Amino acid sequence: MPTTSQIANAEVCFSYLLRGLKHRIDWDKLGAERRRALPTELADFLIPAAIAARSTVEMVKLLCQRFEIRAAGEGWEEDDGYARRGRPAYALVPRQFMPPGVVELEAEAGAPWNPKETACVRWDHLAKSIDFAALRLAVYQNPQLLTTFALNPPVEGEEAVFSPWIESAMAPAWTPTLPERLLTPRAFRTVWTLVSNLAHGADHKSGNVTMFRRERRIDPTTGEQVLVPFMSGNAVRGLWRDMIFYRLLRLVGLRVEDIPPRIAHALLAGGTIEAGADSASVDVALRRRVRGLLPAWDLFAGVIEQQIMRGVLRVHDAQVVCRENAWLLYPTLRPKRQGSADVMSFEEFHAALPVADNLTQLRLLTRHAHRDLEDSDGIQMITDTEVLLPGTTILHSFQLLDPSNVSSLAASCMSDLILEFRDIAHTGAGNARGYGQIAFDHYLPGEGHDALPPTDEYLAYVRENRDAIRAFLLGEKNGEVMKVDGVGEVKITRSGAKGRGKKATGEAT
Amino acid sequence: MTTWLDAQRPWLERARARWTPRTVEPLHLRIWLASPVAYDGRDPLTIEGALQYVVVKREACRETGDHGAGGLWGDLRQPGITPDDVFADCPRGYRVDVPTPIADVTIAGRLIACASIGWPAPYPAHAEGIRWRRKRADVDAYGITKANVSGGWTKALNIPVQTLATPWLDVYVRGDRMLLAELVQDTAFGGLGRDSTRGLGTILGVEIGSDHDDRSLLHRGAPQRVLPLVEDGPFDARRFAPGTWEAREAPTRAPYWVQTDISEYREPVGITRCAAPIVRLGMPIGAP
Repeated sequence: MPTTSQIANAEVCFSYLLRGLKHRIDWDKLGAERRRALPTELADFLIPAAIAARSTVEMVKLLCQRFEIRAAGEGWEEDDGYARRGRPAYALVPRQFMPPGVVELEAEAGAPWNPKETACVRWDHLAKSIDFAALRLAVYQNPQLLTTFALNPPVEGEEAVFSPWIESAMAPAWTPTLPERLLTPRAFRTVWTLVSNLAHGADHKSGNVTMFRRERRIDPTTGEQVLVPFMSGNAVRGLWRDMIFYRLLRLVGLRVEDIPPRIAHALLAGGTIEAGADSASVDVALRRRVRGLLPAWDLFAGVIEQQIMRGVLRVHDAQVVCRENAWLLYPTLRPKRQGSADVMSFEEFHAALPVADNLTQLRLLTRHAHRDLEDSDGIQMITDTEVLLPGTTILHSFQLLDPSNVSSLAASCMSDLILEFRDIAHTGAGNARGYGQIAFDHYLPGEGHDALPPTDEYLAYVRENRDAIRAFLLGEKNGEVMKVDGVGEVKITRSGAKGRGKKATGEAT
Repeated sequence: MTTWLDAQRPWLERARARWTPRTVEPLHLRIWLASPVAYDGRDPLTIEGALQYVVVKREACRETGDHGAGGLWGDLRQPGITPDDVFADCPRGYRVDVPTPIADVTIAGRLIACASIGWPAPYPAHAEGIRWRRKRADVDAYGITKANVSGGWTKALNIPVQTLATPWLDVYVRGDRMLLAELVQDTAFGGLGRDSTRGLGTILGVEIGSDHDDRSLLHRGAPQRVLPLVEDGPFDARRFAPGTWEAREAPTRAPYWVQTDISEYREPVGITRCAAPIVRLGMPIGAP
């Protein structure tokens, strides 16, 4: 992992390199419109470029391709100035920031810089000296800062911009720390293997590039901050919620459109807290009956009939199996050496894993203009999506509040959900375009613990109580008492549809 | 007439018998986190409420005995109730003190748990962040003719949750090692803080060791948890190290979000003027 000082150095050097490259932009080719929007476009593109590239030199190549930069020059011209087209791009770096061992260009007479204070370095020499892992983190920290620095003319004292980073390099020494004697709450775990690219949108857009979602984490072996791709537990939870409730509707012969909109919203999105949904109007009987009637609701819960309820299912973030996550995967995975029963040492495991940023790529998506069609707007749209590569492995886990507190029905329902998930085997965004196909083995509870029960009990329960479930979901038979297997008598207390829209249709197709 | 509290007495008595600490020693709990934890930067992270949650789940929620002949899942047909549901119909004004294996002291007439706040890994190994939680109504599926995704019950939400990324939280307590070890392995202790059902605050595991400095309440003159503001005795705020605390209104007893004034034992528990420790993120420990 790069140190804070390496990140600081990478940021400084790349800022000056970027400023040097600006002088080699072919403005005619770039066009007036793009020239006007250059600061935004450059700031937006730096992070995707840092992701797509595998070295600093490659990152410069991507920038050159996008912004019509002629870094290599256009052949030698016998000229007398350094700012003219023709020569390879170069950067003017204050000597205090010069990386050691980098070859300088000699200053000729009349050179427009002070050789005592500033060194002239060819772009490729400077790029080679910049640690790429450190540069990636520097770019993430503030692409706007790099862009502003590069696109504006030098001003006196501007080096101060970088001073705080240089000072931050003086952090106290870090003692590598790893968990040793962990007491671990039980969780059901599996490892997903990506069969196709996986997309999961970042919090912010980067121009026309949708980045993969990342989050700042801490590596306790180095004390350094790292940006790690991950898939949020909330995303997986939402996907699972849809799966289990759509499946329930299928099992009882209903469509979503058949049930009152607010009930559909509660099932599929967890409902909405509205005025009155507070503790003053708690209906304990209703809460217990809903849990009893709908095992899937027991798992996910939400807000229904103004009752704010908590489910017994806890869905964790999906963690990419990569070097940055090695410390937290090691105690869980206990990886074995190939062809042996011996457990790998942490150091072996750490070294064997790929760096997270090397597990992603940009995937181009084109919407054609179709100018031949009469109604076409004539606009071609090109976007990039950062995706995790096929073959990447991801650890995912969930917890049920506790087996002793979860009914066998809810646990059986969870089994059914996992089988459904395994059959659908897609997650993340862009499934319609082939993204997000995964393969995995059943979720296991860890050594010495019971696995989830079979699905038979849940399926039999739904079959036997189809009418009661349908009646509840449809808002029919309000006030009527129905007998539900394993739960007893259930009084249907739903008040029916409150929202706008279609009324419940009763019989389903 | 049986009151709500009467109905709770059996499990409360059971909880007191089982989870009140028997052997008290200063302990260091290192809680390893597999994901960032929700943290607003002001109210500190604490574990007493999480431990209470586990105790309620174990004692108030349905007993399962030896799980019967059908294995763990065999005899469980009825849905369980969650700890939230236990208190769902608690009348206003009641406050039930749920015991945990952490010892208490009395300061200014209030019971205070000997448990420090959760201290993140020292600088530079922590970082603040934002986790966005998205939620949208699947309006296409609802069979409605018109939906407003910017307001009303179909409103699409993008909710920012302030987070703290840290590999661990250090908590110092005076408590019963064996009982704590049992509770922290319960799945109900699998997540800390807001949105723990959605990926935040996932607990990788807990290490329990000895705390040789007994840092549960004070350490080097700095309060280690929210303490009632008093001007006498060992917790005299005038003797606290300057810059390590601030005076403000705060609750003193878990669950901290309950704001009633009197507990079941007629002891004051609500919000009062306190000395609250300051967690300085992004700075070396000891920095002013």
